[in-house]
Amino acid sequence: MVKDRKFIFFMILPSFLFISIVTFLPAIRSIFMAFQDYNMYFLTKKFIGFKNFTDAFADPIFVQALKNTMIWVLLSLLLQFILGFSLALLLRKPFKGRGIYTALVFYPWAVSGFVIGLQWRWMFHGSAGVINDLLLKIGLIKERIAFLSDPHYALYSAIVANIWYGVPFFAIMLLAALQSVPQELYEAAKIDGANVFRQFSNITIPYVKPVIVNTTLIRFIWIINFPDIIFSMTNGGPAGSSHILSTLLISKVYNEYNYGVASAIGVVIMLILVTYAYLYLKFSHVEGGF
Amino acid sequence: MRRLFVAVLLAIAVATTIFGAITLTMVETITSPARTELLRQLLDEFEATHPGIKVELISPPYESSDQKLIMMLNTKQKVDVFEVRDNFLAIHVNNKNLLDLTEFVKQWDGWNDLLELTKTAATKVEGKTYYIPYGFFIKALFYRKDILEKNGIPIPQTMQELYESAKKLTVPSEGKYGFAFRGGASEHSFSEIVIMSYVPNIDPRPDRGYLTTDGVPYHDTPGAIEGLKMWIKLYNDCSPKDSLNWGWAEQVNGFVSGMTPFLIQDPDTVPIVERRLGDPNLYGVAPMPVGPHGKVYLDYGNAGWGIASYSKYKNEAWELVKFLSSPQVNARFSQLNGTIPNCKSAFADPYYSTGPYRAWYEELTNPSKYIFYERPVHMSGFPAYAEKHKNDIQNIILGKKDLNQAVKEWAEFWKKEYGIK
Repeated sequence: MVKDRKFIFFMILPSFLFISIVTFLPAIRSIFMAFQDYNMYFLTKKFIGFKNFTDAFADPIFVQALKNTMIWVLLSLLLQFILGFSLALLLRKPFKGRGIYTALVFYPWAVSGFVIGLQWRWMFHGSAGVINDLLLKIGLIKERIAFLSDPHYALYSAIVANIWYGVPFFAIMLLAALQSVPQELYEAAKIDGANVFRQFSNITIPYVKPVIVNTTLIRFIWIINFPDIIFSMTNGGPAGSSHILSTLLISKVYNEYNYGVASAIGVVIMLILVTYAYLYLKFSHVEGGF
Repeated sequence: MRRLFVAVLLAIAVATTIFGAITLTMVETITSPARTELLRQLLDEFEATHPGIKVELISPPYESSDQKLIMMLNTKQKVDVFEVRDNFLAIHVNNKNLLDLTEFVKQWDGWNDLLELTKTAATKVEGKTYYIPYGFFIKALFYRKDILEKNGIPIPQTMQELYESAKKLTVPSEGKYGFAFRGGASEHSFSEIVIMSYVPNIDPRPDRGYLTTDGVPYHDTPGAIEGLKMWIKLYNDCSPKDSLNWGWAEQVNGFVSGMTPFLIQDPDTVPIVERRLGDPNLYGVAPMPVGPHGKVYLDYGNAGWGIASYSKYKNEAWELVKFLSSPQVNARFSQLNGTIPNCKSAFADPYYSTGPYRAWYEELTNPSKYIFYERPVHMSGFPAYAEKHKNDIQNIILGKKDLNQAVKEWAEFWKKEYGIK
């Protein structure tokens, strides 16, 4: 028995060490940095307590970014989920050309977020963008809107792009889950006189619930840590009005070379994620998780 | 004596064959595929003329290249020669990673051929030569010849004329505007040209960036407030709405498409504009319009080659820096890079003495009108100021911030940085 344990220990050791070096060490290091005066001009690395955090919270753009992060995550997640689920339901039953259609639907998922941001940046362009053209032709607007330079629209324009990007993920995952629901259950339900809505709420939902919980949990974490689209569409502008925490973090590193404050923001993001994951798993009553 | 010399040479030759050639490691940071290819070609030529020295070129992706270089230097990885950008010079010097080249330069005959501006830039930290700049980014006014001619508008000589001409060209209902405003990243290097041209007495000394000759920040002086109002008028009356968040790509696109026929830009925009317009007669470049005091202050962004302080092969590294800084090599490099060359003899080349580059030559040789100053990029507060400046100007335009409040905050910022009471 002891021998077995030793053997297991040595088998696990290499991968444990590897993960420690590439994941845990940098994470711990960045928590340290959050309490240091760490900028590229003077590498003093002095410990300064919570000053990076107080500096971050005193910045009105940080507070705005915190609010924006919530809007960004919740709106994106909700609409990606609803649209993705609807698509999965539509794609469940075989029809002619389903293969091609499915491939088209899943295409955005294969493109890099940065490239998508650049595409949408030109589509939302205030003078030459196709979205303005369409809205003008339909007659919904009278004059062009500077989507990416207007603080009222900038963040929401990026959210539209992000929704388009994330729908396929839910569609893929939920479609797989839907296809695993045994058909006999629906037949039995029909015999018992259950209508479509009853079937949906009493068979489909319970069956795919673990997948829903897991996918929304993963997506939440991905979206909050997904700066690519905002970064390439608005770069957080105008006047910081479309920053989320992760783009603000990048801006602190690459525009202000301030690693200390950036790490403090990173720690805030981590705290949000840990709290979220804990509460989410606790209240969704899913055994096992991943 | 001669015999001894030959013997030493022979010994070196034998040593190199026995111990193998020396390998210099060079890091570039303003990386692009075409430039890397040219650099490699130049390095091959260097290797051919300097037997026994090989050069390994490291080209990190542009987005994070400077951070990568700084990390390499701070962890004392093998780096001999590296690209020094003006805004990172102070970082390299503070971290003691740059070799003082003063002694090398004393015995170099190429020094006298350098432009005055090159010498000023090279020696700006404590009078020591820490790098040899290879070229400059200086702003000039691009204009669309065809559109100006069609509307009978002359090339503007002053900021006021620029505003009036741009306003005449602006017809929003037809999607026509006069000016390619820059509101997004790095907007300060555009807005400050217009703003500062209204200040009569900017101090041009490199360690006095942003101060007037009275020793105070220029930002809240009456001239600067007038200049800032002009900059905002250029947005409100002459620019597309979404230019509030425009970066380089949108500016150039606006210019090339004919939507915004006036564009303030650096020389590296010339090749792109020319390629995209397809006809060099459609545009021209003029020296920067001047402010009400008959002058304009231009900052000279630059980059160059320096040597790592801890390099084992300092002499060989200096050979490489000398080679890259020689007039012929520099001219070839500048043409592809789009920078203004670093030496006088390069301007004998018709490529620089005629055509669009003539505007920059004019700026470089007329010191009463075009005054070169340096932004205080060496001070640790600079990056934060640049972010704040951008956000504040956007907020002023959006009506969310008071102009007078903003200028006061900028002045306070620099008073604190300089320790002025």
